Formats: sequence, structure tokens, C-alpha cells
Amino acid sequence: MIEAHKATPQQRRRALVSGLVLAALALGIYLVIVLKFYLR
Amino acid sequence: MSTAQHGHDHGDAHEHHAAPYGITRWFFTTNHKDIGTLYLWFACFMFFLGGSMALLIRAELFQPGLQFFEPEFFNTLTTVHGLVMIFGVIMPAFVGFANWLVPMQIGAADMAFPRLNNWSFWLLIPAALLLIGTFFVPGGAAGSGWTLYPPLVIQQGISIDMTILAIHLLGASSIMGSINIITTILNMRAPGMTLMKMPLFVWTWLITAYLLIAVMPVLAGAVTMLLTDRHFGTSFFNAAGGGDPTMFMHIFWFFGHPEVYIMILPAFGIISQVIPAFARKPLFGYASMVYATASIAILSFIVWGHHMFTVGMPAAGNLFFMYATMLIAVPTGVKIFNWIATMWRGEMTFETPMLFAVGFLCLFTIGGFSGLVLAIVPVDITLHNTYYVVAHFHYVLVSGALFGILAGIYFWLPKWSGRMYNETLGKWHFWLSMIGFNLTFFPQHFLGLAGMPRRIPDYALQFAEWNMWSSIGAFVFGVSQLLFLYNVISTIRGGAKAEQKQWEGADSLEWTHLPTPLPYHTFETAPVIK
Repeated sequence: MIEAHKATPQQRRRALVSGLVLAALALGIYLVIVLKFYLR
Repeated sequence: MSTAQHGHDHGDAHEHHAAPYGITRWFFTTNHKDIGTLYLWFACFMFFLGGSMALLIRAELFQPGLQFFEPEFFNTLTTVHGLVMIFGVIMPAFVGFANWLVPMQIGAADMAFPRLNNWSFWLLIPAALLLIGTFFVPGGAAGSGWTLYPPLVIQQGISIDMTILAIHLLGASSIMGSINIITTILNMRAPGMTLMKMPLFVWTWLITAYLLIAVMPVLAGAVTMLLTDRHFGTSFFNAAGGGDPTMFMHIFWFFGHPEVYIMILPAFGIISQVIPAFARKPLFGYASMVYATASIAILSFIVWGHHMFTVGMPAAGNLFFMYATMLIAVPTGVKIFNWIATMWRGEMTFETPMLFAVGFLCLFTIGGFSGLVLAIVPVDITLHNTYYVVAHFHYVLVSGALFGILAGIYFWLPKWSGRMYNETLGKWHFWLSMIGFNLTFFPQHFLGLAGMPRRIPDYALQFAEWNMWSSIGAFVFGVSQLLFLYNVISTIRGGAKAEQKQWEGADSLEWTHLPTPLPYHTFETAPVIK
């Protein structure tokens, strides 16, 4: 079976960084909401 | 829109593109088209499930008095109907579209994180089972309304815990999906595909995905606190322990209002591609459409208080939320204007996708105007929790989001399946939906203005006639969706062969650069966009 073209190493590296930053953002928002109240 | 040089001949490629087969294909797939298909079928199943609940609701409301259900069960129907339609239908359907279209429209081979993509989908199944399973536990499903306001949810049974867990799973799925979509759009575009060359659907999804990442964790935080209020002795929202139920409303609607735009922006994207294709003109005001979408998204964060005008906020707060809400009409008006300007002097034809797009344009505008009516504080105080509100949000979410989805399915089904749907059946589906929808929801404006409250199984005699018409309309609308299901299945199983570019005016990469039916792997070499 013919494969799809692969992302370049640079694209993959950037994708990983973007993904981690966005995941950290989501986790950060969740923690801010919850901890704001739990630590009160 | 962009044009592109294509680096690969697809002429004899079909034989080489055989997809894996069997059940494992669907369990383990990392292919964006397979996952898109899974999302769309999941949404379709949930649509008929949530729709059945809507018909039970309308059957009960066909005439005054209790007909079929106890009031408690009626409350569970309205609650789960709302949760299923929002989290199980509209959102997964748009993620299905994103999976199918985003990689193709930006010239990428697949999503940036294909395994994460698979996981995002399969999280939906336990979430849906938990949500539906609430009907079968002691005490029945959640009856609090989809907003899950305390103190009611603190007092109810295990179904609330199941619903909270389901929402956590759905939220995790949405966040992972959004991370994937943003990462793909920002990093995987083909050479030459600049941001301002991307089709509007991709733009609307990019902005929607940011909205999701910003607000789904807020909802998750709120329901986590509900859970600890229920089981771990905290009193965040429990007034009996010194907590503040109104605080839950603020947090919930800080999520809830952007959520409305999460459900409508991708529909804007679909409509922005369907109308130019059938008007045979480029989209009028492409850049202004992008900026209007971004403006709507930003404004959506500062209007949540308009859901709470009756809780007793300070007058200054009410005024702020009123004016901020009215401000959203400006970018939305830009969009409506641009769609009409796109059609102006176009060589229009009215195949089914265009019918749904025009239907969207007319009816969503009505929903927008009734939203403006509800934005006015004194009017909202009168109409709060009446059927006027029910009419308003169904005009936004059914004739807005759902009509957008239906327009998109008819538009892209020939490309996805390689087969053309039955146009006559499609038109029947549109007109019956149009008549059924308006018959169901337009009278609800009158009911609301006359003071009929929402979420009740019984009502005073003066509301009987419009309720009867509304219920008849609901069954017409419901039955017409069976035509859609039949049309889609018969198309996939044996419709006439579709052309590579089924729609003359369609100009995004999936139409101009990819064969019909689509190969299993989208681009064997990255297209170069001029």
C-alpha cells in the first residue's frame, strides 16, 4: 500500500512543542479554576 | 482561494490505496478519514437518540395534563436531550467534519497526532454509555437541566456522578481533539498554504479549537467541584454549608456561552464554503470573515452574564452584559452581509446543500434577532425561563448548527463516498425539515411571550393550541430525518458515481486536487500552493 507523505522532522518537532504548550494551557486553566477555590 | 500545483498523478492510484479492513480497522485506525467517519456516525446515532427524547417531550406536551410521564421523568428527558444534543451530536459532528476536511484543505497527509486522534474518538463511547446509562440507575437520570445547577444536583442520586464523569470524558476528548486540530493547522500546512489562503472552514475550526481549550477546563473545574461538594464534604456551591450556588452559574456560563459559539462557528465555516460554490463566486470579504469569526470568539468570553439577568447582579453588571451581548451582533452582521453579498449577482443553483445553507441564513438570523431581544435586560427578566428562550436557542442550534451540518454532509458526501446522493430525496428532506422545524419552534415564541415556562410537563389551557402545532411540527421534523438517513445509507451503498469536482464552484484542495472517491491516504506528496 502506498503511504501518505510524511511530515518533515521540523514539522514534527514544532507539532510536539505546539501540542505540549496547548496541553499545558488546558491543564493550567483547569488548575487555576479548581485551586482558586480549594486554596481559599 | 488558492490554487495549487500537484506533485502526483492520482490517475491509477486507487488500486494501491486499499484500506485495512475488519473491525480492527475502526478500533485502531489513525487515519483522519476513518476517524472522521466514526465521529459522524456516532453523532448520527446520538442525533436519533436525542431526537427520540425530543419527540417524547413533544408527545407529552401535545395537550395539557399529564399524558405519558411523571414530571420527574419528564425533567430527565429534557436534561439528557440537551446534554446528548450538545455533547453527543453537534460537537462530535463538527469534529468529524474537522477530521475529514482539515488535513485535506491544508494539504497535510493526516492530523498531527493520529493516535491521540483515535483516543479522542474512543473516549466518547464510555462517555455516551455513562450518560445513557443514567436512565437505568436508581433515581433515574439527571433532572436538573443540562446546566446542572446546584443545589438540585447536590441532592440527586448516582446519575449525577455518572453525568459528571461523562462530562469529564467528553471534555478530555474535546481538548485532545482541539490540541490536534490547532497543531495540525499551525504546523502541517502544505508549502505556500499561508493562513490567509486557508478555506474558511479551517479558519473557523482553528478559532473554535482555541475556544474549546479555553473553556472546557473551566467546565471540568466546575463539575469537579460539584463532585467534591457531593462526596468529599466541600461546600463550594452548597448554600447549606456556606457555599454560593450563584458562583456555579457564573463559572458554568463562562464556559456555556463560548460553548454556543463552539457549536456555531464551524457551521459558519461550512456555510462559507457552500454558498460560494453554488453562487459560483468567490466568498465576499474573506478577510473580514476571518476577523469577524475571531471577534465573535473574543466577545463570547465577556457576555456570560446575560444568562443570569434574574439572579440579582448589580445594575452596572447587567448593563455591561447587555451591551457586550449586543456588540456580538456587529461581527455576526458582517458575516450575514458577506454571505448575501456573495450570492448577489451570482449564478446560483439550489441543490440540497445550498437549500440548507439558505435555510440556515434565514433561520439563524431569526435566532440571532431573538437573541438580541433577550439581551435587553428588562425584556429578559420577563422572558427568562419561558418558551421564548427555548425557541431562541433552537433557532440558533437546530436551524443554525444542525442545518450547517446537513448542508456540509450533502456538500461533501459525494467526495467522501464517491457517490452522489438522491437530489430529489435531499430536497424533500430540506423542505420537510424547514416546515417541520418552523412549525415546531416558531409558535414557541408566542408561548413564551404569553408566559409559558420551560421544563414543565403540564401547562395552562390557554397554551394548548400552539403546543399542539409545535408537537405536530416536531414529528414532521423527526420523520423527515429518516429520509436523510435513508438517503445517506443508500448513497453509500449504491448511489450514482460522483465526479471529482461534483460542484462546479467548489475550489478547496479536496475538490481540485484529489480524486473521487478519495484515496485512503490523502496526499502522497505534499501539494505546492501557488
